[in-house]
Amino acid sequence: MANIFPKWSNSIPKQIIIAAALITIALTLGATYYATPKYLRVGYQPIQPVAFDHSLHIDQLGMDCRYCHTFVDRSEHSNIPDSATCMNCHNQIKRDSPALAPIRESWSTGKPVPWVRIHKTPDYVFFNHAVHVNRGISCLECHGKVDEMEVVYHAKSHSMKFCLECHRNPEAYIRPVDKVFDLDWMPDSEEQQLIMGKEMVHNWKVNPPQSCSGCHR
Amino acid sequence: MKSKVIEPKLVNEEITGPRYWRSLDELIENPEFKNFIEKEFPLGASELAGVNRRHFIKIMAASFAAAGMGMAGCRRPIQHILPYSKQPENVIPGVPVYYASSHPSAKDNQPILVETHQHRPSKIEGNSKYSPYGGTTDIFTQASILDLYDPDRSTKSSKGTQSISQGMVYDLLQNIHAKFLSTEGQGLAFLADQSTSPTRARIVKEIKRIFPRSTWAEYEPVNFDNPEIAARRLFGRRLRPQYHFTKTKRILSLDADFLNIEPGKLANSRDFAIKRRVKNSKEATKMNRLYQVESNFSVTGAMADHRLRLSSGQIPAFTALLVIELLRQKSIQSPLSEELKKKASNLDTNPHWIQECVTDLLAHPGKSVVTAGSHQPVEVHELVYFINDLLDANGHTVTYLNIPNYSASTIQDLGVNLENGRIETLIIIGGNPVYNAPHDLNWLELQKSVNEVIRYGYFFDETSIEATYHISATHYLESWSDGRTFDGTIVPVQPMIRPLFEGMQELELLARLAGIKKADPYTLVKKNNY
Repeated sequence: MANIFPKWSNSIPKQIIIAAALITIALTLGATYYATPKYLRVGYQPIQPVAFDHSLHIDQLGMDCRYCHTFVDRSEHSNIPDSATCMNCHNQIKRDSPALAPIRESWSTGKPVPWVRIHKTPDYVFFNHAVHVNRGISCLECHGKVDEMEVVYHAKSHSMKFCLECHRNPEAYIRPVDKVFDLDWMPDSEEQQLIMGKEMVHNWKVNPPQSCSGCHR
Repeated sequence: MKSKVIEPKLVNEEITGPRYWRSLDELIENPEFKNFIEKEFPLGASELAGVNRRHFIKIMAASFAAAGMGMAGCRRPIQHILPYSKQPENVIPGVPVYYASSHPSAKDNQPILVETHQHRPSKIEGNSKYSPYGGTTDIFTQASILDLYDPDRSTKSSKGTQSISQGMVYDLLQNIHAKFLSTEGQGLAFLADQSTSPTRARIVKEIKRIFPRSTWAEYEPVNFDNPEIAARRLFGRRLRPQYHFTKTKRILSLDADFLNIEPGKLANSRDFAIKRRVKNSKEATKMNRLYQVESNFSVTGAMADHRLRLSSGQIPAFTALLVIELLRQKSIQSPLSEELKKKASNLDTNPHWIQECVTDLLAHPGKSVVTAGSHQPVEVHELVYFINDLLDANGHTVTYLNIPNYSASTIQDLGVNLENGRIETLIIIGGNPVYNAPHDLNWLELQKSVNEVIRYGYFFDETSIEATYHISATHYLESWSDGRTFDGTIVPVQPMIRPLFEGMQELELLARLAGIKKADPYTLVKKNNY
C-alpha cells in the first residue's frame, strides 16, 4: 500500500508544538506588558476644564494637600474641592483671569465644574483614604509627586500587585504621621526606613489585610 | 396594589391601526405607482457606478475591522467628578449621616435610624436607643425605604386625567373648608388609615369641633383592635395588654403569632429569647415553656414546646374549655361553667392536653400568661382577661396601657351613611378601600354614588381612579409627624430629604381642611410641646 501522507508530514506535530509554545509565550508576554495598568493607565493625563497647576500651589506657595482635599483624613473618599474653595483666594488674586472662568461661573451659577477623573479604582475594590493617611501612608505612595506636577497624570500603576507590595511589607513605606502630607520628606537611608517602619508597624498595630475580602467586599 | 390599567375595548380601526400614506399616488392606488414599487428598488439603486453593492459592503466590513484593530473602542470612557459648587456644612462625601425617625403604622411606630448619603436615605435600621426593641425593626420598616424611590409612586395631584398644581390643591381644600363651615360639616365624610400620631389626633379633634355633623371613619384591612375593644366592653376603658415575657415562665398562646405578627412583636421576641437562653443544664429550670394552639404553622408555633393544631374557628370553644378546666382545678363553683359547656359541646379535642396545660399554668401563679391572636373574636379576648385574672397574671406578666380616648366610626358606619345618600364630599386619606374594603360593602358602588371624592394617596391606585381628585402624598421620610410605639412612648417622624415630587404631607392636608392658619407640619408637631 502506498504512503497516504508524504514524508515531510512527519515533522508537522513537532512544528505545531513549537508554534503553540511560541504563540503562548508571545501572548503571555504581550498581555503582561500591554494589558496591565502599568501600560494602560500610567501616564494618563487628560485636559482639565481649568489648568490647575499643583506645582505652583504646593511647591511655590506652600499650600497643604488638605486645604483643598479637606476630607481625605476623615472619609474613605478624598474630595475634589468645591468652587468656593478656589474662590477663597481667587476673589482677590487673578480675579479676571480667563483661565479661571469655569470656576467663577460655577461659583455664581451653582453648577459643578466637570473635572476629569484620573485615578479610579474598579467598583469591586474598596479603598479607604482616611485609613491610609492616618496610619502613615503618604499621598506620594499612590499618586506620585503631585506637588511637582504642572498637569496631574496617573503616576503609579494601581494594579493589584502594586497594592499587595505594600500590604505585604508596610514597613518599607510607612512614615511618621506628621510627614504624610510632606511629599518632599525622605528617610535618611533605606536601613533607617526599615528600622523605623518596623517600629511603627508594631506600635500602631498596623495589620494590612492580604485576604481577598480585605478589599473586594 | 399599584395603579390599575384599564384597557378600553378596541374598535376595528384601532386593531388594524390607522392607514398611513407617503404620496398621493399611494393614496389613490395609482396602478403605475404600484408597478413602480413592485420592482423593490428604483432604477440603478442596486448598482453603484463603478462598484457593485456586494463589493462595497465587503470593503466597509474590512474597514470596520481595521478600525477595531486600533482598539479605539477599548479606551476607558472619560468620567467626570462633579464636586459641590459651595460645599454645605457638615457634609463629608463618603461619610453617611444618620437621622432618627420612626416608621408610622397603625399601632406601633418603630423607632429607626436612617442612613443618608449626601442627603439621600439609603438604609433603615432600628434605633438602639429605644431599649425594648434594641435596634430591631420588622420587614415592613426595612422595606419602606424602597417606597421612597418607587417608580410607581404618584408624582402629581390630578383631577381625572388632568394633573393639577399644588396651588390648585390648596384652593380645593380651602373651598371644602369654606363650603362645609356653614353647614357644620353636613354631608362631609372622612375615611382614614389608623395612626398613632398625637398631632393628627389633635387636628382630627379640631375637625370634629368645627364640623360636628361630619363623619370621621378609620379603616385598616388588617387590624389589631379586638383586644382593645374587649377591654372597653369589660372595663369601660380602652386598654391595651402589654406582655412581659421576661417575667413569664409558662405561656399559652391561642392562635397568636406574638413573635412575628402581633404588634409589640419586636419586644416580645427579644424578651422571649432572654428566657430561652441558658448556659448549662442546671439552668434549664429557668427556661420558659410555650404552649401554642394554632391553625397555621407560625414562627411562634415553631418555638413552641407543646403545639396543638386547631382551626381558628375552634379557638372560642377551646377557650371555653380552658376556662371550665381552670375553674374546676381551682375548685370554683360558677354558673359560668355550665354556660361555657354549651358553647364548647361541639369541640372534639384532647382533654388531657388541656388538663396538663392548665395544671402547669396554675403551678406558676403570677408567672404564667395566656394570650390570644388579635384576629380572634372579642369574646375570646374577654375570656382571656378572665383567665389571666385567675392565673394572677394581671399586673405581673401582663399589664394594661391606657389608650387616650379617641373615637372613630368604622367603615361599615360610613357605608350606611353613603347608602342613604347623605354624603356629598368624601375625603379618603391613605388606604385603598376600592381594593381592600370588606366585600359585603360593595365599596366601589358606594364610592361612585358620592358627588365628589377626594383621595389623598401615595399611589394612583384603584381608589384614585374612581375619585374626582387625587392628591399626591409624600413619603414618611419626607414628612414631619410624630407617633407612639406600642407601649405608648412618643417618637418623632422627621424628614431627611425634601419631597422628591410635588406632594402634600398628611398633617398639612388635615390642617388645611380644619382651616388652621399655620398649616406647616413642623409647627403643628412642635405645638404639642414635648
